[in-house]
Amino acid sequence: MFRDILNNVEGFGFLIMFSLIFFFILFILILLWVWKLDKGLVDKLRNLPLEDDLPAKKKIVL
Amino acid sequence: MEDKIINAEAESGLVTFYYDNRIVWNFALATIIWGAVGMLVGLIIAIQLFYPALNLGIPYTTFSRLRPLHTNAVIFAFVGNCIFMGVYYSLQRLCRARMFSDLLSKLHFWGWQIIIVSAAITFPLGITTGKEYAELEWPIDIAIAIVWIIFGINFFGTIAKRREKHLYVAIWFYIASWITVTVLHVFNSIELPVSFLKSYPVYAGVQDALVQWWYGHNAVAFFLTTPFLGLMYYFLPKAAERPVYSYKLSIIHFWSLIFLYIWAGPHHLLYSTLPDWAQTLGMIFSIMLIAPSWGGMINGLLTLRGAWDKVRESPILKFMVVAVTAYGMATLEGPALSIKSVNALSHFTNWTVAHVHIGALGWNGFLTFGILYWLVPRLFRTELYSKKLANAHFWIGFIGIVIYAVPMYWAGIAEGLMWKQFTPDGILQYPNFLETVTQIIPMYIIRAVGGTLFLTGVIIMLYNLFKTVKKGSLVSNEQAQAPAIMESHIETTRPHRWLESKPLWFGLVALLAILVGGLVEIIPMYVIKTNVPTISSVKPYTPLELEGRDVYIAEGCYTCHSQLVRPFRSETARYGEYSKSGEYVYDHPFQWGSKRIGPDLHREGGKYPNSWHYNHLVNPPAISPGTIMPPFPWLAKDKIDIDFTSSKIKAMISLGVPYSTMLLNKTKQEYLYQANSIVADLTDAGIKADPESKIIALIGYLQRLGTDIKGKTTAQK
Repeated sequence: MFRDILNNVEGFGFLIMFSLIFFFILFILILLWVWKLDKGLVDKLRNLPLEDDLPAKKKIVL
Repeated sequence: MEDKIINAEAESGLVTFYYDNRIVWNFALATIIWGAVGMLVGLIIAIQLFYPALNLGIPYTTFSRLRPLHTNAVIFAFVGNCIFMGVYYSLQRLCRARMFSDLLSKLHFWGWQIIIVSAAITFPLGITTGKEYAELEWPIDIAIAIVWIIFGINFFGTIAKRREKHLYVAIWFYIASWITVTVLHVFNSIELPVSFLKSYPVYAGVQDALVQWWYGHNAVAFFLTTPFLGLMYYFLPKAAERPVYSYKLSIIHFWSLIFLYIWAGPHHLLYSTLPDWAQTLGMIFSIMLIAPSWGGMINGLLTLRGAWDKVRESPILKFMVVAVTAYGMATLEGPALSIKSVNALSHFTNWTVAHVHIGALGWNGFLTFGILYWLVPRLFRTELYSKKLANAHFWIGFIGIVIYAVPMYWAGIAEGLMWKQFTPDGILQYPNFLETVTQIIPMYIIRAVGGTLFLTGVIIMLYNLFKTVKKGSLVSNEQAQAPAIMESHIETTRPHRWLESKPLWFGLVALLAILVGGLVEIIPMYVIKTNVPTISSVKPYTPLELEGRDVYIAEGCYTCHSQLVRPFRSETARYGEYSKSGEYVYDHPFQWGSKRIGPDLHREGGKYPNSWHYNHLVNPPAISPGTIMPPFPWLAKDKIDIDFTSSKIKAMISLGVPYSTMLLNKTKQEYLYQANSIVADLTDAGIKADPESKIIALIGYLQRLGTDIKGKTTAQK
């Protein structure tokens, strides 16, 4: 489908190709980034709104 | 190396501080009041579409002046105040810090309210730039920039002094919204002032259209959507008392959405004179937007996984579930409408009106109501006055949305098909545009019933919240405790942690993500000449036509009439030659419009005699029985300040419009010469008119429209 669309564009097709490739690379990088995220950190982050009215906690590094 | 986190109760070192709830309540109150006002204005103009006499025969309450008031009130007053309410509440708690400066909070609040009042005064007076959702004139634009920067300093200042090192994803959405709105507002508002309340945009024609819809679409994206997604990621887990379903998905949602959204603006200009490559870019990126948008919706709905029994009980969750679902529906329909073949039918019809109201009433409206019902009792340390009334509000509002949207979809598809319908002999089935208007009047009536129901729900909420506030007392400064610095203690230098701990860098990366799309689309439009082929026969407007154009803009004619004949047989058969980008090169601003409540006017010049226009403007039903166009009798009495016209010509010269010095020196003579010829023509038809009246200037402009290329199209690359 994309090829059909792109073939019908004169002159500036490279912009569309560039944009799609740019986004594709960015998207892959985001996926890698998210995939490598630490589970403990993710759990901590997703609970932030629920903890903001609980008694404060202090985190200590082992 | 594995990251390790260990939490332990703090034994000492806690800091006591106070959240500023007063500012949250101020914005909440403003949300409720302006919401009711904005929706009431919307209802009034909805009724005017089948009962035009509701304008009371005065200019200030006429549809075309009130419509920008409705859109601006709902977007910037209702939704805007709700954003600030939610940001000020959630940011303080997520950062475990009071707002950076109480003074800046107050300046932000009052500054924003003054801007809203300025809009409420200037729009009915006909003071407008004529650019949709950016109609406010230049002094107010500057005020918006100042207040927005005040908000930004306060916002980023709070982030800088936060005690919680992690930035929750809601704050990411707030950061991206602030940055993008800043960029959009500044670039779309570059205009040349000609007086205290009059300016011309530096962009013209198709270039102005591209910048305007880059702004317009992203006002929807980064004002109505991304800040609300931030609110969803904070308030939905709070209301459901469970964390967001997938934090990883929220990260993908965020980055994909902000990168893709900015490209989609040209889908508002499909089949226009915008170059094909730009239209295609807009279409492709709009379709791709389905993925992150639905990722967000699914993330929101799955947050309630295992808690659907709560939804049955809680009106707050009911509002939020419908809001998130409406977001999903609107973001599926938006890309569908961006497909050229669908857009060919839907554009300029009420289908778009239905689409935006699914977003505005369902997504923005219902999420706001859910947040208000959750927030106000907490601010006042009490229970909600009546859960039953909140439930009643939900059902009345929900039915109101359905009764609003269904007839508008029906009307949109019906009029779209009627505009395109040919007889077997190959002529238009409905050559008189009025037939397609009268056909959908019953739909306008039903829509107003839906709007009345929705507003009734808001009034019930007003009462419910008023009673709630009465039985509690505002905790203006809410005590909280946190360690002086809650270190994250993640022993890693991974990109996420690094980026998240540096809001400035985070903002810069977000800025880059949103700039790429804008730059790739807009820069070629300015630097590559072939994108706007010039036409030798297109000349600048005469002084009279220029003043007439300003009357057209001030009266908001663009709210009902387009100036863009698309390259369809159905349109060229109805209106004439399709529009070329070279025809608009002197249009500061462009006036293509986005809705055809009345017919397109780009080939209006020379279609009817001057007397037809005069009578039609003063009393439309006398010329077109059954029309819903309001009368504009004041145009025959109000005068143009001709002495000021030369200043406008000078401004146009500064913008690159090739007026001669000779014309500048005899602007008034030229003006009166052309005006008197129209007056003489009217006199022959038995109409007495003042050559300096606004109606003569407007007739001059209307008679000029589209005539430059009639029979002599010579495009030069």
